[in-house]
Amino acid sequence: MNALNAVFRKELKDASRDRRSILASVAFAVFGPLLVAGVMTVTVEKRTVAEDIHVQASGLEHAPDLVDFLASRQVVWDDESRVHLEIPEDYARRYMEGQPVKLVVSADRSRTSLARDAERLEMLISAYSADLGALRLMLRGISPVLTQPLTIERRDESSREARASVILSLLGIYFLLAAFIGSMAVAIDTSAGERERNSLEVLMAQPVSSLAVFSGKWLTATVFGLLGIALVLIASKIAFTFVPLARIGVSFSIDLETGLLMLASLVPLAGLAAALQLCLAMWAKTYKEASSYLSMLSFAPAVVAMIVVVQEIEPETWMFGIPLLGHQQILNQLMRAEAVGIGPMALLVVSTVAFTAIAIAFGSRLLTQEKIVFGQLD
Amino acid sequence: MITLTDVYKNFGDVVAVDGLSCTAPQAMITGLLGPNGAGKTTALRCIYGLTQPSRGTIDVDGFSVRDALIEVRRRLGIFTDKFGLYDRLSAREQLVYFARLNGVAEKDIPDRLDRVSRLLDMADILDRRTEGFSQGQRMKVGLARALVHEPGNLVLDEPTRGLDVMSTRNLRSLLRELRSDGVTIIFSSHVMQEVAALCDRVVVMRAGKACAEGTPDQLCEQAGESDLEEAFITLIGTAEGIAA
Repeated sequence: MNALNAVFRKELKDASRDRRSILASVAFAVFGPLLVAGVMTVTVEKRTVAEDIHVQASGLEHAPDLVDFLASRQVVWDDESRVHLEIPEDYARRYMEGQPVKLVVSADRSRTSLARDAERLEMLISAYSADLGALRLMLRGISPVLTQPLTIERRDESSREARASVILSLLGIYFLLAAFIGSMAVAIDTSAGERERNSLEVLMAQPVSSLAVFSGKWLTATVFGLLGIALVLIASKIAFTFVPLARIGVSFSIDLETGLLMLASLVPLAGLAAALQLCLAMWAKTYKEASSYLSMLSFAPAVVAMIVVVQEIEPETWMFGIPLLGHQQILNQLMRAEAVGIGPMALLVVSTVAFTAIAIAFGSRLLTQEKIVFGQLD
Repeated sequence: MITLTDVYKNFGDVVAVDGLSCTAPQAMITGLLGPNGAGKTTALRCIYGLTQPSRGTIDVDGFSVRDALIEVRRRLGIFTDKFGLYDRLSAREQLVYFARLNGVAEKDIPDRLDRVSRLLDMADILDRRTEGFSQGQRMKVGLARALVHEPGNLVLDEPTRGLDVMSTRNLRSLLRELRSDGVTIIFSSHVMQEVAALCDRVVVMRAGKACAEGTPDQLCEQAGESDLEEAFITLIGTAEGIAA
């Protein structure tokens, strides 16, 4: 226990003086949520601010009533526009006679923005046409309701939080990533780095167990992983207060309980990530090799998350026995403000701790092997 | 005292140590002399237990490396030619670390640091981070690290490699001082002068075996030569790989 404590204190001091890798972790933790928040702000603006519909029209003089109506609903006449409206010469005559008037709306509909503008224009014209029709029926003493035997009322049963969750699952992946990124630099430096700097041989020749040495290094890496997670949570909380989510009918807030539950699932994950990283980095032949292995390992949360999202996997109990997969599910539930069961949560924590213990035992064994301590090039 | 009895070590088909038996008695400096690749480093690594011998036994002060590794390591100070230091830590912080790893009680640490820093004359560099230290300063920190828990046995692997003349002289006088304090010292070298200048006993190694063992005088006698240098060449069979 004394040896573990000695290793932990030394590694913590050593790592906290490694300014460059700390800066990298902080940058990752802070800029990620800022970026996601920025993208979301732009999306919200685009969705809620209705833009003018630019239309190139011919024959405007034939239908002053329609022109007035459209102009009052954000339609702008613009000869440059690629959405065309054609009003026929006999508009007024046919209108007076009560005959249908044919208007042509043309646009290159393979282009999303043009198709959307054309559609909006068509809806406006349809609405005007419906109003006219209703007036004509009323003049003849018939209720316009008769022409609508069926009506549809649209309802959306997703909760406001659930609507946000699609976008927020992005943020969830980021929380998982943070557990890996925060500890990565320290894990490499303290294992492959220590070997490359030739101090590992002397360290492993000291009268302490390899378990104590490995555990001390593991605790240090875990602390940095936790710092990464804490920073991401704080940065997200701050950044997302500036996103006008309410304008798209979405509410998102990490309240104390949700935050604590997130931490409860993420803390063991940070431990597992650190243990896996140390094992891989020690097993790698060189510092560079360790860096590339650990970068690959960091993709694991993103890959798991993608599979879950693309395959639309619904949570089942056994999934909480698998770290990362279970974490992804729990974070999703938490961010959708759904209730998280004590059973799945406990299963996830226990399984993550068990995997961590296995990794620590394995890593400690690695440290007793000659080719690991001396490096394989020796 | 360190005793190796019939130690074998092979890496696959390569036999690095091939039945080595030798003794480093207490309060004496024992040199392992041999050309590069004779198995000196592997033999020393077997003593501090980072390499497990395929066969044979090693005892340090009566404790077996195989059965009581931690006890053995408590009694050893280790200094290798690639003494990697923690460049972000000061010399003092590194010494505190190794004192703790060796189980020195927290209240005794300042006292131990004091003594080792006086022994190595390094008070002026104690509180500087070791990044940017000269080779001589790094050697001092490396030695202090090996000595801070005041071990009864000191194992040095090619200790003078890469050192300048002044540092080498300092190292020699330190080893003599430690010997007079009763410390068992064993070191490896491929430099004849070094061994001749320092050692009470010499173990001449060739191809993983000890081909001769004794005081320099005994070695001359055994080889039938009056000059130590000639004696080594006769014993090893060639001067290749040995530096004058």
